[in-house]
Amino acid sequence: MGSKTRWLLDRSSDLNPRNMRLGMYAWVIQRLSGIYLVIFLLTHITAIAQANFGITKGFQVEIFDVLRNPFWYGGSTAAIFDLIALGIVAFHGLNGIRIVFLDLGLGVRRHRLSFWVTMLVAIAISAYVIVLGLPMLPKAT
Amino acid sequence: MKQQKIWRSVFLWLLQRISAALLVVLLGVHLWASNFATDWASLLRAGIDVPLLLIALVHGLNGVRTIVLDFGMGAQARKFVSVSLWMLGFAAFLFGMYGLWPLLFPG
Repeated sequence: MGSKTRWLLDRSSDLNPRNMRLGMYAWVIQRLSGIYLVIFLLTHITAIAQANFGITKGFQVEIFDVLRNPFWYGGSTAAIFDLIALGIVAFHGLNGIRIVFLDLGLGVRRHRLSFWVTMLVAIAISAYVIVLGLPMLPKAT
Repeated sequence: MKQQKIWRSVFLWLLQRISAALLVVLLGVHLWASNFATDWASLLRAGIDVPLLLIALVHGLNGVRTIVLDFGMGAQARKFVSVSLWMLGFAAFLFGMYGLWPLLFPG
């Protein structure tokens, strides 16, 4: 049935929500969070290098000006961007450890439970670091 | 598929797992050292940030390659994706080293 010609979310597709179960959602979330983190990594690298280059105008500076807008960070440089990245890093890392264990054949029967534990621990770590870090952010002006 | 190509896929799969384990540790140290700084935090960061940069780029771009190749494409397109990601990674590594320079060689 020429799967190449079908749309990604066709009824017969593995990615159609009606065909997806928990393990598939974990797989999709891991990939989406991975893409977000690559974008974050490249932004993080160029943002720091940009400060060293002393670049003051151009496309890149316009992007960082957008990120410095209070809408995104509420008073501290790109803090919301960073805090979102923190939560996603916590999930992606913990779920990655879970994947390594699953690849080794450990906990395959409990993969649903370990996914929810991963989610809860990721939220707990993010909450803890945010509570720890919030007083250190510069006050909104 | 040629035997050599199969082993390369196995190697990349294993590399993704090993770099994942290293990243969990290195990223934890990196976040702690850069945000909850102590006297020797910059020394610690100077030690781990270059390997972290390298491993994060390898893991991230290899992950992008995995995702893109999962959509299914011909040998030439796969080669194009791989070469593009190598160039992107090399450029990002140079940018990263430039950003880390004052940390590595203060003064």
